[in-house]
Amino acid sequence: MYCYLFNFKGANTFLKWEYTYLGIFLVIFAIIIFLTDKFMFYTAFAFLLGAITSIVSGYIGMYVATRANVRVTFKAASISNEGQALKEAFNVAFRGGCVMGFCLVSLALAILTFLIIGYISILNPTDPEQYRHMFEFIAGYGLGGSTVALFCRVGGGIYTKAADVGADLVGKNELGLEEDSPKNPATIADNVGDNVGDIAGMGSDLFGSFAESTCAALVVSGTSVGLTDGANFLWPLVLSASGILVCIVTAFFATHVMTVTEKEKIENTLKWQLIISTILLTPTIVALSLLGLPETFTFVTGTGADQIVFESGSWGIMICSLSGLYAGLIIGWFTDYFTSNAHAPTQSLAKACKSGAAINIIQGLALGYLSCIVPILAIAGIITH
Amino acid sequence: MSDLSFGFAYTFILASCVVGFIFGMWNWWIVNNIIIL
Repeated sequence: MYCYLFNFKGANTFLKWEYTYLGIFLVIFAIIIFLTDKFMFYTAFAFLLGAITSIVSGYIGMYVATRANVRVTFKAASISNEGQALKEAFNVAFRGGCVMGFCLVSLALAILTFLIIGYISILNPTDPEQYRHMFEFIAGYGLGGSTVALFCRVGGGIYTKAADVGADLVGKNELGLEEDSPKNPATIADNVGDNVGDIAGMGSDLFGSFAESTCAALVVSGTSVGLTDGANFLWPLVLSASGILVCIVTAFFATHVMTVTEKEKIENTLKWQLIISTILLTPTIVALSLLGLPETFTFVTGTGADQIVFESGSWGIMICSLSGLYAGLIIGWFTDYFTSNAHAPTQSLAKACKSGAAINIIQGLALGYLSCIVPILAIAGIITH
Repeated sequence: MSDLSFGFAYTFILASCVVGFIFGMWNWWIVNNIIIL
């Protein structure tokens, strides 16, 4: 219980100072954006809105995680039946993750939608060129999100690693204590690092990725007459919104259908989350593409001799979206294969550790390189296609 | 084959956001109501 209070207080203090310095940088950066062009007020406003949403996302993550952590520990320790304890603890941990995931995506999508509604009513775009300019202003939202994500991920990441290594050096190597031993005061710093780097930083990062990819899709749609005619450019946002509904159904499987009663099932249940969401999103993408997009449309970029005209249609967008969806599944699957202790690569690395530190480092490095091959091939294959 | 309308798109997006947010807060309510002794 005391550890939880220390963790929360430490994470809160770290984020308070991180966001203070970050706030100064964001204001200066917004002023620079504002001064570059007379229309850049819109970009600067979107930038600040994205940055604030990212900060809020990170803070929600940290706030929920520190409270969920102690409740997971309580459930795991207070129930005598091992299977029941695992089930209860897993459900609390999973629900804790759901809070940040769902609140963050819903908040980010709603704010982006209101930003689009506001800019459309102020700028009143009529042709693709005006739409493209408007979406470039809105892209500031993604820039704000990813700027905060960069600071939080790197700042929190360096802190968490320094605290982890420091705690291990003093506790494990010098005093012979176990990993994360409550007898080691440095464990608090290590846990604070995990909360600010891997949770608050991850929250901001997640928001940054979502905002950037959605804004990029909006900018691309601004180059097409067919997509800026009516509300077709909102298709990426509609897809993200349907993703929220699909994920609610998927989350239900983890807490009510594939319940965790033994340690071996934890990994499996989480892996199935990826598979179920992919399966459920497949018909959703097909339906949304065929029913919500024009059959054919043209993208036009550049002017004069540099002009590039590209024909596409609802089928093209559908195939692109499905390719991205299944590439995500393949990458997730292979990442799990190379990092889980249930599979051969990690087991062989553990065996290699017995031969000494040098073999451990070399094989670990080789395994890291090897794990990149399939994700790179998947991404490159899709882009080429 | 038909196009998206503003009415449907805005309603669907914002309704999904509300549902997602409520689901997130419902999970928070469950987690937060666990009494730690």
